[in-house]
Amino acid sequence: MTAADAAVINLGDRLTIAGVAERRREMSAALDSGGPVVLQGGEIRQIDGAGLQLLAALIKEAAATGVVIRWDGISDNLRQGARQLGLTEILIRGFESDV
Amino acid sequence: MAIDVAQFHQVFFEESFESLDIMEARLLIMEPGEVDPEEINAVFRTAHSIKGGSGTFGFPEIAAFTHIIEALLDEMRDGRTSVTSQCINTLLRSVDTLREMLIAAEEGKEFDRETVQKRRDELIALLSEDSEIRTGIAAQGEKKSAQTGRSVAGWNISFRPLPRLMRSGNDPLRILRELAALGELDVQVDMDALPRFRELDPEQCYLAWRLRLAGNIPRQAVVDLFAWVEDECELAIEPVGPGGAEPRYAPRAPAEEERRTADGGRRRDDRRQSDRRQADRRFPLDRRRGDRRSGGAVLPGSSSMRVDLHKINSLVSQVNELVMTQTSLGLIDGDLDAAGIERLREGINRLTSQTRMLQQNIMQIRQLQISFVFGRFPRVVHDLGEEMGKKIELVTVGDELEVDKAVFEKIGDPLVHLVRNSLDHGIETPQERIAAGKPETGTIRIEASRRQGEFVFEVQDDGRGLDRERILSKALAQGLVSADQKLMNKQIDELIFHPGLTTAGRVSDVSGRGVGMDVVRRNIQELGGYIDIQSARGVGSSILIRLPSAPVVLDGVVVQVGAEAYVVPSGSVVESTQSQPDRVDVPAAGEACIGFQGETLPLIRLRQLFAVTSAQAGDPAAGKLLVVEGDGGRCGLLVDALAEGREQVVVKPLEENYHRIEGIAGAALLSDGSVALVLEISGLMRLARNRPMADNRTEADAAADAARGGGYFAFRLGSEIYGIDRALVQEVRGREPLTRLPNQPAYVKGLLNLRGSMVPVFDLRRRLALPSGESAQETVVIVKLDGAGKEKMAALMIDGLVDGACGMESQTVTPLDVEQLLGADLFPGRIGE
Repeated sequence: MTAADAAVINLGDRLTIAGVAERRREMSAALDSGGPVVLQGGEIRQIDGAGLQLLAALIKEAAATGVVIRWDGISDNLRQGARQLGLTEILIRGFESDV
Repeated sequence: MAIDVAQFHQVFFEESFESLDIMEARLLIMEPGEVDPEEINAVFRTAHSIKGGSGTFGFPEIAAFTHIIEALLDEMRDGRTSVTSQCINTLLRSVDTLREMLIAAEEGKEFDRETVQKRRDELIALLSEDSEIRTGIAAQGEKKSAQTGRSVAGWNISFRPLPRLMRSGNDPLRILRELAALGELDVQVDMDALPRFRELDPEQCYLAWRLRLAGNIPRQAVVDLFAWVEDECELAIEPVGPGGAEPRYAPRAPAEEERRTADGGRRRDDRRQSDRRQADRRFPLDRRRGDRRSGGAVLPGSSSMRVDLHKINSLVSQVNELVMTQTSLGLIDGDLDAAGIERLREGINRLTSQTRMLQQNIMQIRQLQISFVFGRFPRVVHDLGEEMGKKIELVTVGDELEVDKAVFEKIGDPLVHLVRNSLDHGIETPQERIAAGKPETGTIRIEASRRQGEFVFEVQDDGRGLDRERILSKALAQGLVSADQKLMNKQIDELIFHPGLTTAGRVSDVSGRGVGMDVVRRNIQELGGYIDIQSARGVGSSILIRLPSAPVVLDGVVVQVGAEAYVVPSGSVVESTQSQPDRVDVPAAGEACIGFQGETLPLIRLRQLFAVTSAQAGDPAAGKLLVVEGDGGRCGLLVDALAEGREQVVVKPLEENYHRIEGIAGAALLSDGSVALVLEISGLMRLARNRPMADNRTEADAAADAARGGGYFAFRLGSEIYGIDRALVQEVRGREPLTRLPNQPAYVKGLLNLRGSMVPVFDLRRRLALPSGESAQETVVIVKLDGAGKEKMAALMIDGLVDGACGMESQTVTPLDVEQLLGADLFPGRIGE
């Protein structure tokens, strides 16, 4: 599978409650496409509980519906946030080979 | 943090002040002894909501203080602590302290820690011996002093946020991060509540955590981290490891409170709303009663008051336009056929109805119930009655009266002062009252009503009445009256309004606060009102305040006196036709009278009262007579001519750009575009009774501002070039027809209609006492002046502009300080004038 076949979601440098509603719509469309979804998280500088919860929900949904998720970059802040909320396992560990 | 919590602060403060009002009102009706637990529960709930908000929005000290209040209420509710008057009074004082803390937080200032500590100690002293707070404090104290330091291995924490937690600006990531900073943190996330992606509201919190924090960490340190969210989550903190050294004091888990108030958040919120609505009906006070900032927007409970004032003003302008259009349409008298005329008439009818609707809406927006002000009195009476050992029954009448916001904001403090005065000086002690054959309990009655176009407020007490001998001796001692002056009782009573006159033998904490009756009167006069006192020794006193209600739009009869037109409100006119009086008595000296329907009424000759000069005699038989009615009764009003029909006019208060004039409600634009003054009959009758005093205002020292730098707007007055701060200048225009203002200094030439705004015109040459010149002074300069936050416009008559009028240096002009020159006229109440 190539990135060209996948829906690419660039998470930008900020994934916080201020922008989660819009990001959810984008993710929802990506899930609807049925194809793989690539998350570009290498630039995330700012993330909060709402942002991490959204990622967790996306990945949980993808697992339930058989949609493939791939990370294309995970910033240190994203890693740190995931660890602090106990979400490393679901958000990152399963994808370690990707990144 | 993603959400700036500060954006919620204003709402939090408003709600908290509202909650305090509810607490206070409920505490005031609580009687010691048997109290319905539901009553206490209601107070508890309001305290709880303040505590929750304080924690959430980052005011942990307020949350901690409220927690102690809550603990006492909890014990009162459960019967562990008796409901005594000491309890109630301490809680009332704590409400005050809490209000001060909130005000300090709102203003970003430090609160008075000493007072808070004192109040905290008082509250704790009332708690039962085994209360969690007392034992918790004791346990903490023991731990500190004995340094036994029983250790804990750590804490098991169950943290389950309510869905709304993130929406209120809190972030679980921040909390867990801070926990991790205390010690080694093991985090287990619970994602069971996470819905399918399609159903996910990403701003709600669905995750929960089981946490294990290792280390000998004080429980309070853990609790503090959740202080912001304790109302937004279910939280359990259990010790781990040997010893189980869990402190006995811990705040109740908020989730427990939610369960206690039954069935979760929604019902609880509903009950809070219900409380709030109830408070609006009962004691909706000023939000921040301790606040005396003049510019502060006091927002009483009604949400309608959150309408921007500019919006209201623009609506008023809209009404103005509609009324003018309507009036113009009514004047159309063209070559229309019958059907056309009918259509025109229908249109006019529609327009009339729309105008009235709009008018009603506007008026409604600005109206507030006076009960918002009356809500202050139970507390004042309760506190002062206790302090002074007096028994007082408070009676309020007319709580439902609605007054304009401007009146609302200015009437509160004077009324509170009058009630304090009644309590302090009027009502006797129970012993004195019994000795005087009166009931042990005194009565203070406050009544608000609307009578004949005026708001009337009356503060009555059945106390000892004014001690005229004492007032007179004080006035003599202070040189206010001379020994040979013979004063009527009424004149002696009036002396209490004189600045500096106090008859109190001691400066009490109640009425000796440096604010006297003179200030009360000044406040009332600023509103264009009138204050009067009636008193009988041993029987009581009654203070009456009358304020013009000044409707924005009114129907009026246009009358003519000399070249001037005036509008008499239709509501004040009893007879306006050519009806002749039964008789006219014009004595050589004294007041002229007319006989009307068997009554003898005083006659007001408008020409004389307003000193209108034009070649026409004031012969009642030659003029037209109206019988008008004001609060002081009826009178005849003699004018030169009466216009046919009535006009609907928009009244512009003179205070907008000038100051109020007794007998004048404002100015209005007539259908022909000219400006007429609208008469206020009650004031007119007072004016006629008292006859205006000669204008004795001293002329301010001109051109005192020579030190000002460059940037002057220069103009010519006689042979001199004067300069005023060019920042003040709005525009220059030709002089237009002016509407004369009665009984004003000679340099006030009248009113100019500046695009619907009535602007006073000043003859600078006269104001500066310059010799009269030959110039016709056809040019006026419009300036905008600022008096303590209120901007007003004024027009200055000048002889002419000079080349390069703007930006001239002070060396080339004689500088004028317009604000100082006209300050006394435009801002008469301003401090320092």
